[in-house]
Amino acid sequence: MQAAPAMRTPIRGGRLVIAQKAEPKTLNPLLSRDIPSREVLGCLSADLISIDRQTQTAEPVLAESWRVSPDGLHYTIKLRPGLHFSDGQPFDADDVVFSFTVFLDDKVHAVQRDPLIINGKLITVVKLDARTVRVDLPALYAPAERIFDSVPMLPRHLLERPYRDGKLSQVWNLNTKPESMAGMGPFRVKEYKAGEHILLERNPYYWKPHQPYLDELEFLFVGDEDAQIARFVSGETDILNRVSARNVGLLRARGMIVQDLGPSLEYNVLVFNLTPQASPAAKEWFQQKAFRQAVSAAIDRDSIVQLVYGGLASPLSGHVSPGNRAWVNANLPAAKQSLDRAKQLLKNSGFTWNDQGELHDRTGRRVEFTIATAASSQERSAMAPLVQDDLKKLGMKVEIASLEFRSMVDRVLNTHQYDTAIMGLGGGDPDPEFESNVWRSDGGMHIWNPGETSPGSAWEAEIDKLMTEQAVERSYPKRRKLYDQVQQIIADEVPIICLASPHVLVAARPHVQNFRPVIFDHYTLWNVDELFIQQPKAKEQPTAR
Amino acid sequence: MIVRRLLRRLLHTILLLIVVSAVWFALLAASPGDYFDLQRLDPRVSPETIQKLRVDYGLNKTWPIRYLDWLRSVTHGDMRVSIVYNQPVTQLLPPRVANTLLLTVAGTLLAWAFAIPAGLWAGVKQNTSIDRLFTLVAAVLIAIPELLLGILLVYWVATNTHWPVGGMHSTRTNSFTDVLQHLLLPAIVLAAGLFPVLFQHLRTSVAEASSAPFVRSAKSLGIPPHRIWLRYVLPVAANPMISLLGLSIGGLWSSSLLIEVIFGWPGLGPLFVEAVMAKDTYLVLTPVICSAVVLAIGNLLADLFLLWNDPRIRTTAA
Amino acid sequence: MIRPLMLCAAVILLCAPFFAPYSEDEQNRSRAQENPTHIHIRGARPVIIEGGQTYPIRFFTNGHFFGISTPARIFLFGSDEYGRDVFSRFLFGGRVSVAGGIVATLLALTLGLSIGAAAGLGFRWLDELLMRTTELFLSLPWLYLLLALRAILPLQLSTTAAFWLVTAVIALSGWPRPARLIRGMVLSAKERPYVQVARSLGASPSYLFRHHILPQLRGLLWAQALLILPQFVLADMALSFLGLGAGEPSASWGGMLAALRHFSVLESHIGHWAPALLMVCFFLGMQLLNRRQPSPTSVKISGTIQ
Repeated sequence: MQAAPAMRTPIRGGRLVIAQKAEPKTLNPLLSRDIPSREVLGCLSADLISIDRQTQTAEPVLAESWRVSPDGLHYTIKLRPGLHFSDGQPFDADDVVFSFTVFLDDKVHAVQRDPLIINGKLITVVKLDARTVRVDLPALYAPAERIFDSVPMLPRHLLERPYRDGKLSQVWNLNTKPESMAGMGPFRVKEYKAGEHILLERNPYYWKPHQPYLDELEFLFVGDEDAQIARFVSGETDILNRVSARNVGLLRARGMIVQDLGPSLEYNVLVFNLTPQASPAAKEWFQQKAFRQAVSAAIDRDSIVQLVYGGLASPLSGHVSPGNRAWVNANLPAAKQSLDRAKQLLKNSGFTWNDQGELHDRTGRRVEFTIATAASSQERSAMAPLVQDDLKKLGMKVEIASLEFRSMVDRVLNTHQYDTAIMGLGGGDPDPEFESNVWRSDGGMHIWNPGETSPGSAWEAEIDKLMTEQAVERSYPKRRKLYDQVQQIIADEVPIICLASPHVLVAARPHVQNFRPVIFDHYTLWNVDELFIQQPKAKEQPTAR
Repeated sequence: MIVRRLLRRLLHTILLLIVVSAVWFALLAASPGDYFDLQRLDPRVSPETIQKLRVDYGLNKTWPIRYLDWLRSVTHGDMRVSIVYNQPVTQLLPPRVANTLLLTVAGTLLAWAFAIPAGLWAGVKQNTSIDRLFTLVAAVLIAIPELLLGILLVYWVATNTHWPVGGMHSTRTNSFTDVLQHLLLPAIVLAAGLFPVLFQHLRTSVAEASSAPFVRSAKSLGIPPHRIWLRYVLPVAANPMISLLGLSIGGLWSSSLLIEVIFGWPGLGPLFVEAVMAKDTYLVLTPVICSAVVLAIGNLLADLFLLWNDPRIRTTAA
Repeated sequence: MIRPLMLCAAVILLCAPFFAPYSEDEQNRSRAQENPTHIHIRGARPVIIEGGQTYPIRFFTNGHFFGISTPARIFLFGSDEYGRDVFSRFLFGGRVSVAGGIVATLLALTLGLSIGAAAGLGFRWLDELLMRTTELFLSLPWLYLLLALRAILPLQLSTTAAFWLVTAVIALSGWPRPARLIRGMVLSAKERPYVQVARSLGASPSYLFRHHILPQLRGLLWAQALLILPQFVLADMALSFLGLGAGEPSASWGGMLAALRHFSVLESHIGHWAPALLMVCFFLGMQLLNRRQPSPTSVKISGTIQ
């Protein structure tokens, strides 16, 4: 990772322009479901405690400090004094209690509600005095501090009435007048032009003194990556957030500096349909561990890294990306392609090859199945033909079905009408609890067999046990050991085959200072209140990577 | 007679709108998945919450029930709320429609502005080098897919010039000339797609009309050329052009869809595509209905004009 | 001149397996994104020089028009991101696209002709009904029809099924315009003096249609055909643009065109531009064929009594 450039004296002023793939759909934090909305709202609101993106530890934001009770169940949080919303109204414990009440309300169905449920029960928040609240957890929870990250504080003076009237979902849409909205973030809304841009201006009441340095922040609705590159190259935008590997060459050829931050938290996987609704043939083949392992052994992950990502990705042996240094199990054997091993595994399980090299199972059926991909993901669509070709060498006949994104999600998670699918998971939070719903058998995103009421196999039961233990284990080394075991089991049983993790690639124009991109969301704007604009002097050009 | 005709047209149009909206409703419902599937991939949101959201927005009901519900609202003038934006549809559309009309009107005018003189000229001077040149240009323009032209133009302009590419405004400016600058490229691409067909039809009809016997007799009678053109040739040549004009007006909003997506023009196009992908049914249906209405009006005007222009048809229409 | 050229092109495309040196899905992973192979002339024979060795280009080998012995590869248009021969994919893609275009056009025009003629010749209520139907179909933009249909269909959409899907949608959305134009012309032709005379002499509507009206439509039909033919490629391109094109690994012209929107493809090597250029020439050739048809004028004179 590149060392941060020497700190310069920040200059106030200027407008930073960043492109978005599509326009945000709402300015209401409760309804924020898509990425552009989250990006904008991230700059408009602030949390009590959030996870610093560089150190990965909890740091106080609107909270000044907090105390944890010895049993770990009670967090007493003291707020900073003299805080105000972006419209000048004071912020105090009443707003905190109101915010949590709204998020926890069963009838509001906020996206923030589920993470606030521990072991099936809600947390409770109590006001102790004007600047102090106490949060009570119903059960011990190892990553408790992370709960507060991404729970924005809402203004009671503006939202209490709509909440009581049950009209919360109708307020704070894109066309709402900026004066009717307020937040604790570094910026507030200045102007919205449909289909074109949303312009934010500095929040004069922001809690950090002298910040944000920027006068204005503009989100331009540009479109897909090629359009974003065109605008960046022509100088209209200042930051390219997450570039694809295939465009790095042409950006660098034009003198743009693209930073490679190493593997992200995302991992691309091939999922096997292990549900009862799979086709009988697929069920029979996929339920055999040796078959799954054979498929995994046949796939050439290095090809994927080279051809799909131009080398700017990391092949995966387990589901935790090497970029997640705090949690990755480095002892897993590297997954190298071995057609011999694959063939051996198949032979030992009773599969045979006929004269044309086609693979048949015990009952004489030709082994053929489909890989579903989402058409909108260019990288995953590009992986599929490589996997198809690899499996052809085993004599398997694989068809690729390119589906519209929602169709694919529906098939995999709802109707289970598919054979295998290539999907991208992860990317939010490095902590294992963030994805517990994927690994727990009763989790809603238990991707190879969602909707199980109880673990379908011994290894899934084992994973359940390990996940439950690590959720309450407060010692990080012990927790890590438990999660290492989870990774080991997944790598061995391969209900999902982990393929590759793309690197985080970002670019910014040289005049953007304090640019410290990270591999965690939001990669480039997480420190937007510290960014400022100043043309670098000729001899101080940052070194190109 | 005219009134009865109009009334019958109105009835048919309403019937058309009902059928079109029902078909769209059914198609959208038939594709698997719905808007909230986006959230299924967030590991922290439980399926129960998503199901509750579905019930909130009425997505748990079958599509005929939702359709009838929508129909009832529409008859009261309520076009309902977009699931994605949580705003009334009637609030979301006007700025986008305005932007689209700006583009399509500009592109259509540009196309006709070139097609009319070119078609007339080529029609009169058939088989001369001018005619051959224009025909070749039109042929090349048809041969190049509009999307390809748009893509290549974007690439070439973005990498070789400082002309603004994409969007409708530059940042930091709000002037009309800036809008015109952004308008130029997509309008050119749109016009390039419309021009060839207009040109060819005009050329053919003019050529046909100008070599018709009655024109020759008019010439031999010494009637001055410009009167021949105005009173004899143009009315006949106008016949198929009028049908085309009717279709043009109807196509004003839909022809620019993909061009808007390529150029990032903030019109109905990108909004509509996203709404279809997200299955935001009410947001999809309103432009569909509007376009069907516009199409019907366009065709009605065209038919009326046809009646007025060509007396031969009038006799049978009575 | 144009006609034999186009005929040649059509033959080459339809016999893609013979003229293409490789199959459309043959991957060469170590040779991705290669520039078009340089062909040298040594002793009046075309050869390729690779790794110091000379490989002559052989004709009529192995069931292919031309080829080269391994380990050399002849990539006339270079290779794509999986190391597949772009030229071969261009030919195979053309086969699908041109065949699809022809079928779609035939379907659309047959529909358009029958409906337009029926509307023009038939009773008033039939005319009204059919014209309202055209309005219905015109208000269903084919792109979204296609999108929605693509999403409903079962998972394993084989290439043939996808092909017929796109063809059907183009036919269904392509017939209204010719139908309306034909109806307009039939309506005015119906009132021409010679037609009325023939009618008074006892000619049946079908005779009138076949002998007096149809000849006049020939120019229109041909012009419409040449407009609809490229629609298959355009539909495919739009679908690929939105990410729903013909499934991998099959090649299609629409898919190859849609790939050009990526800067990375446009800038990789010149070989990617060649298919687009040739496609444009092919469509241009189709348009130029139009000019060879007799102009409506000459046909009309023969149908005139005056």
